[in-house]
Amino acid sequence: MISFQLNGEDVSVDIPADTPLLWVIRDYFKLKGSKFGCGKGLCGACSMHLDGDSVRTCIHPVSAVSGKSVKTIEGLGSADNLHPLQQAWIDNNAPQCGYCQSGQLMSASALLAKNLSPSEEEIDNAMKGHICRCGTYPRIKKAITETAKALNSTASRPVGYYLPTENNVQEDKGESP
Amino acid sequence: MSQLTPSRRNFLKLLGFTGGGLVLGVPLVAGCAASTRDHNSKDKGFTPSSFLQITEDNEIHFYLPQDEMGQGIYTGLTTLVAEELEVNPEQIQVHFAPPHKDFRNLTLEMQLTGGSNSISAWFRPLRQSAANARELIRNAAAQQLNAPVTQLQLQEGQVSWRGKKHPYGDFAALAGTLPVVEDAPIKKNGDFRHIGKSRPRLDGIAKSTGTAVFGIDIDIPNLYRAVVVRSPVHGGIPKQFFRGSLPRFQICA
Ligand code: FES
Ligand code: FES
Repeated sequence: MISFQLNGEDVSVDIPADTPLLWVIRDYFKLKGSKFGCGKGLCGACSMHLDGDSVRTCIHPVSAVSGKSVKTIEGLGSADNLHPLQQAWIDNNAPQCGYCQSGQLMSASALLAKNLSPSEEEIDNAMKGHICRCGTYPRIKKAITETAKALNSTASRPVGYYLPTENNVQEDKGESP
Repeated sequence: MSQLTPSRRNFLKLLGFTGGGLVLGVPLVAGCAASTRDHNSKDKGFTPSSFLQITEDNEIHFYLPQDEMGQGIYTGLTTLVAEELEVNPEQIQVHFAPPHKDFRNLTLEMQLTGGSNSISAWFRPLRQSAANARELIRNAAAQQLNAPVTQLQLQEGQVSWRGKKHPYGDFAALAGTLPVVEDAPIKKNGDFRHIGKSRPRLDGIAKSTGTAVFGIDIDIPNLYRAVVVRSPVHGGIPKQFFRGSLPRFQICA
C-alpha cells in the first residue's frame, strides 16, 4: 500500500511499486488531464508537481511518491477557479491541440511558485524538454512572462488572482476570490 | 477532388422534434439508407446524427463533423454556425459528432479530417443549415407572437419584437412543426460579425485545464493500453522476444 497526497487529499493505492505515477493517476484515479507522450521522460506531457517540483511522472515509480504531495493539472485550477497561468494561456490562445499543455502548465506553475521574476533564460530552462508538436512555444513564453508581471504588480492583479501556495514567495494580500 | 454540388432540395432535412425542440441536419444526399437511426421518428428529441439542435430550454447544440486536432476547427465551424444562426459562438454547446454517414465531408466523400479542407468544405453547407434554422425560428416567432415576419429582429439568440426579447428556445417546439426552409438567405462576405474576427478559441479553457478529451482518455471495459517499449540506447534492437509472455488479446474486427 502506497500513501501520498493527491491534489490536497490523502490517498492510498495498492498497486505494483514500479508502476509509473502517470498510469496510477490516469488509470487508477482516473484523472486524465496529464498525458502520455513518450514514456521516457523526453517530452514533458506527463509532468506533475511532486512536493512543488515539476517531475516527469511517466518514469517516476509510484513507490517514490510515498508520503509526498502530488499535484496534477486538475489540482492546479478549474474552469471556475483558474490559476493565473491558465487564464493567461486562454487569453493568449496558447493551446493548439492541447496535448502538451497540462505538462507545460505544471512546469510553468512550478517555476512561478518559486520565482516570480524569472528571466528569459530561467523560463527557457524551466520549460525546456517540453515538446509541443504544434509549436506553441512563443505564446507559452508570452503567457508566462505576462503572468509573472501581473502577479508582481499587486495593483494590476485582477480580483481572484492568487499565488500558488507551495513555496510561496509572497503571500497574496490582495482581494481573495 | 469532387465538386460540391449539394442538391438544394435535400439540403436540409428536418428531423425528429417533439420534446427536443428543433433539430436540423444537413445530409446533402437524399435518403440515408445506411443510417442506423430513423431520422423521421417524431418521438426522438435527441438525434445525434444531425448537426444542430435547439431545445425548448434554449440550449443550442452543434455536432461538430470534423475532428479538432489543434487546427482550431472546433472554433472555426462553430463560428460558421453562430454567424448565420445569429447567436454568439459561446452560446453553442459543441459535441463531437459520432461516426455517421451524415457527417461525412462532402468534398472528401468520407468522414475524414485532413487536407486543410474543413472550412472550405463546410463553409456553405453549415452556414446554409444554420440560416435555415434561423428562418424557421423567425417563422415560428411570427406565428407565436402574432407579428409580421419582416419586423422581427434576430440577434444573439433572441427574437426582438416590440422592445421585448424572447430566447430562441421559446419557439423551438413550434419551429419543429413548420414547413422546412431550404434556402434562407446567407450573409454576404462584408456582413460577418464573427467570421474573420480574432477570438479566444472556444476550447481554450478545456485545453488549459486538462479537461479536453483525447482518444487516449477514453475508458471502455476490458480496454488494454499498450505502449511501445523503447530501447534504452539509440539504435538498440531486441535480443529476444517471448510471445508467450504477453497476455492474449481478443481482437475484434
Ligand atoms: S510522457 Fe513523460 S516525458 Fe513524455
Ligand atoms: S498544443 Fe499540440 S502539442 Fe502542444
